[in-house]
Amino acid sequence: MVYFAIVLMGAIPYYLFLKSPKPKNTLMIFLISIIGFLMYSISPSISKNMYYDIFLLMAFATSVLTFYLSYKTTNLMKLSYHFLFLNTVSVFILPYKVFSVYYSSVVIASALLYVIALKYIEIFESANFYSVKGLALTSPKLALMIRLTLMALGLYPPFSNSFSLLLGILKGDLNKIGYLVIGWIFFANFFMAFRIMKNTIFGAPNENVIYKDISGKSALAMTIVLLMLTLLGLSSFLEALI
Amino acid sequence: MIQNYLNNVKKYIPHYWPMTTFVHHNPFHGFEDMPFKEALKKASKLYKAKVYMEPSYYIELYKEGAVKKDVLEKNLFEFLKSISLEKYFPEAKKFITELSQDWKYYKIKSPQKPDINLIEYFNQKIIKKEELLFEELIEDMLFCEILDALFETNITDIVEKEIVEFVARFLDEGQTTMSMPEREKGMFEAFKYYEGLNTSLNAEEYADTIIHEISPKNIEQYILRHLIKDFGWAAFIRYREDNKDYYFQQIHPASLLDYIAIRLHYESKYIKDSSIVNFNELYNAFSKNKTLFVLKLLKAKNTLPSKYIDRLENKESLNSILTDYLVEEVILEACRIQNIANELLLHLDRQKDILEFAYLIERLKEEEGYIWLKSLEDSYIKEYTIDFLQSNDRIPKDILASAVFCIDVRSEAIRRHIERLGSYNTFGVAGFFGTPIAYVEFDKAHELNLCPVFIKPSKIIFELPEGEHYDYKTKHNINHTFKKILDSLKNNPYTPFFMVEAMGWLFGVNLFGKTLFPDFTLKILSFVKAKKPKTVFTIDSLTEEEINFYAEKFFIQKIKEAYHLEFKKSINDKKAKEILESILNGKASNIDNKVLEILSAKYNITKEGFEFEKQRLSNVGYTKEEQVNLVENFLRLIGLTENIPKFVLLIAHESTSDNNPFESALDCGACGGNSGLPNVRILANIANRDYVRKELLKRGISIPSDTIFIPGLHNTTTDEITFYDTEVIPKADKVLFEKIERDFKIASQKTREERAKTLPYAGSGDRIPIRAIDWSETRPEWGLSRNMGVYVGKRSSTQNVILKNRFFMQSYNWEIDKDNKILKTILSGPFIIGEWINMEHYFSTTDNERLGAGSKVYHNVVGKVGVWTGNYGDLRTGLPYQTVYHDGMPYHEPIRLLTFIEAPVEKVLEAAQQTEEALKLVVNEWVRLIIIDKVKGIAYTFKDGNLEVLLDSRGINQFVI
Repeated sequence: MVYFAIVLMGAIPYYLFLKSPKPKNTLMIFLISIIGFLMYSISPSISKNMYYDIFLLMAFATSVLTFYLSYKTTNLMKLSYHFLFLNTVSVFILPYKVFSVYYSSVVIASALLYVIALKYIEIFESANFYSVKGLALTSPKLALMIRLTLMALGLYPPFSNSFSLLLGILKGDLNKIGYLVIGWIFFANFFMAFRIMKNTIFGAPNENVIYKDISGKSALAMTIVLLMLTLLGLSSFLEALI
Repeated sequence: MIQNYLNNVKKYIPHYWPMTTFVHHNPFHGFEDMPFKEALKKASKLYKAKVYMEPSYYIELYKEGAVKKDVLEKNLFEFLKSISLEKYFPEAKKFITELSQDWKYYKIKSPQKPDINLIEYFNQKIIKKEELLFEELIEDMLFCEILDALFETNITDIVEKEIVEFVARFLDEGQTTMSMPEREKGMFEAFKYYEGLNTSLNAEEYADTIIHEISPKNIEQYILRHLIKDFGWAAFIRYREDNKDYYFQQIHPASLLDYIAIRLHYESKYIKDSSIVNFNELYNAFSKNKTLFVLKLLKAKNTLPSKYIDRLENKESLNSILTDYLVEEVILEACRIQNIANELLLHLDRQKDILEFAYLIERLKEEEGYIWLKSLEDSYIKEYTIDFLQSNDRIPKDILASAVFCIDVRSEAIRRHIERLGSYNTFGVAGFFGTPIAYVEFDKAHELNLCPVFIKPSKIIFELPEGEHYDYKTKHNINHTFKKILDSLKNNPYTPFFMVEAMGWLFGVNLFGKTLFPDFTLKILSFVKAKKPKTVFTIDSLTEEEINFYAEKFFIQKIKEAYHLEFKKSINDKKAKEILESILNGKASNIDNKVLEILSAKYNITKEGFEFEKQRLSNVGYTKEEQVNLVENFLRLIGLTENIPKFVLLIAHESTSDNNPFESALDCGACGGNSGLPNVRILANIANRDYVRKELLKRGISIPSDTIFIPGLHNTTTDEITFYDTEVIPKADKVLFEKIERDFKIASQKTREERAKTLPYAGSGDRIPIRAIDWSETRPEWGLSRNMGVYVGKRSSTQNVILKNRFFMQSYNWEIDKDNKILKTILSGPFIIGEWINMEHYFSTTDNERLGAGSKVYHNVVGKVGVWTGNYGDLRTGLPYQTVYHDGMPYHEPIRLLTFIEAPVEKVLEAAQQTEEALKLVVNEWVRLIIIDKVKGIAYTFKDGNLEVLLDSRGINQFVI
């Protein structure tokens, strides 16, 4: 059952079946992942049997494939669940408690990115950010929210994504493969997040696009979520210090 | 062949002067042969730059009253009349004063379906064959950019990086310690060495080969595209190419042809790995993938909306994507017109009406920038013309001193405050004071041309210490040695590692001191700095004997140094003289021919070299006749030929700022971006000479024997005025001069207080001097920002007009200018400089990112020639953001130079017709000329190249604008 849970979390990239970047499908992916995560939480022990290596390899391959595909897309909706598949492999490396915090953080931050993608659709008729440049100058609230969300996903401190991973390194019993996976997670998350940030937040605004900003209420709601991630992160940091 | 193409297009690239002598210039100088409006249309397309402000900017000015309602209405009506659509005047007015600023937001689906005729109208404009779309899209692209768009590569970035890296290194003027080898052979030869190119072709042949490989349809346009891509570097190379005397051009020659060859080389190098390597192959590939290519190009140009990019990603049918996009564009464009018509409450039922309306809106959108600009200018012209025309001559009485300032807009406030203290009148003249010189400063080796850049000074003046200067020498040597050690430690590959730990704290003192206690730190540093001793100038020309003596002395020294360097041995003066004589006389001597060859080839120690040096020495200083002419011309130029008071104060200007690569832009533009102090010291010295005055008396200019000319310097950042060479003042007059100094201090204080109101965070004005030494200050002063016009005429005409530091003021009295010589001088000098300054500010404001220099915060100095943004890129020409903007709003008001000339109309026309460059600017409307003819009581202007009456004050009092 644990392996089935891992598959649901994203060891097999089921965006292959839910391919369309429609919000409904994306929501479905999120739900399946969360169900997978809950199932895993019921019985979190992964014994090192013959399936272990196969599933580890499968999850890592999914992560690499997702990274490649994320490089090929400029759609925020797709990228929001790409982060889930990218990070599922961490389940094999991190202790259960640390993984729970880390994966929850990833789900929350990815969900925030999903909400941002919805806002993009509302404002720009699509969640594609290719031609939506220079948000910092035109829609400062939206730009700030994307920046903070991507900082969380890109493993910048002080969000729990980065600190829980740090805790995992310090408290976990990592072998060579473990370090390899952690290194990969750091690189891939950072690269994906930075690529989005560079292309949509900075630069000169596109004169062919009509920019609008998100409402103060939406920004406040997102800030609260980010604040929670920060508090969670600080608690992981304190735990790492002890 | 490529040289011919280059010659045809290089005029579109401006000159960029190195930043140490920053020269304000019109970035579209090459377009000045065309009428302003037409030129801007072309330039804007070529440079992809904005040439007018956004409509919202002008609408704000309209609401504030700066753009007058009647003026705007008149200009708008005239335009509508020119396209026979004056019946839409109310709608057109509402459109440009209210709706146009939201142009983008009207492009949404309208509640009611757009008129079918409207859809048909845009259908014809937008729906085109893929071939045509493709041509339009690649029209302004380089081949590597097209490949990037089609294959989502980043070849252009790599090509640009390579080009910039080489060019910046080659053009370096001493910033790097490791100089590029082979630079003396020229840019392309050095490039061949740099790239390891094994070719015997010269730049032209090489560029020809590559351009034929790439095979663009229009080679000339393709070269222009390359030049404009990094037009900052191209502009600097063009400046060097056209200034053969420029020192670095002499030692490291560069040309635009070399530059093009290098650009093409890199482009060709990096496209070789692509599946398409030239335009022929591109067209072949296009014929097989028409829709995909068009969509990719639309995407790369940021014109394809996001939802279509999604569809591209999802691999939907390409034809349906393109068709849907084009159809939607048609509908949205039609909706926009429909939405605007709805907003204007227009009921356009008939086919003719709706199409006419669509045409009107399109034309208005094209023309609105110019209509607004002209209306803003006309509003100011209207306001000032009345004031200037109605002002009366004022004959000043009991004048203690006449102060002559630069025409610079920054002189206006201080002149006004000085005049208000009584006993003073002021004059304005281009800041080199009619004294163009090549100046060699004390302890410096190179010449500085202290005059407008388009004048080649015929006189060389050296600054020499008056007496012993032991203190200076000692401090200078210590500082020099310390700097040398520091530089060598800093630039050595290994030493910086330990140097930071060992000496880093020393920099900390400077860093914290300058940041936290700038004035105190500056005082401390001034103790360490070597203070220049009192100096004099080589004002008098040399006699034949003196010329021989100095030339000989110079060559003897040169021979001694050459011997030391080449043969590692010292020779005495006698031996060196013997060698020199044998070279000059061509006599056989016991000197080895090989030695003579080396001296000739490497050190130019030849008979011709000696004669050249003698020729140069003959340019040192002025003959008595020249001195008299200099003072006479100067006094006539400003109209000070009678009632000359006891003191004539010649006040040059400069600025002070720290950590500011653009400091030179704040100095005197008429002195080539330098201080004008040497010019005024020289002129004052000459004007104080008895024989000059005696000769001037014969020419009708009486300078009283007790009149004293005193040079001074106006620091435009702090508004302090310092006087020099005051020892010439007799004891009896010292008290009077002290009063002047006190009064000028009061005027300085008042000017500072006035300026503080416009300078951000300047407080009451007391903080202004600190801004001059604060290294974090991005805006030590506003410089020439907000410049608007120039007044050429008597001060009495401007004295009671509020000019708000926005006018250049050139003193001119037409009554003494019998043969128009003075006016012609003004039109071919200060007038041109004014236009350059004005246009530089204009375009730096309309598009600071493209035509200005962008934000100072991200600037880094490159090669000591200019700045770039970040760590590589184009050389940033133009003015920085902080010079023309504040808090996201433009501080400078971009308008063309309003030139008011106070003289009878016939005189002005005659003078203008004889100064080709000035006439071109007036006729093509790059400046707005207004003639204030007080004799007739009429003001004239030019409209579409024709003279017409602007205002007749003899009762009719009617404006044509």
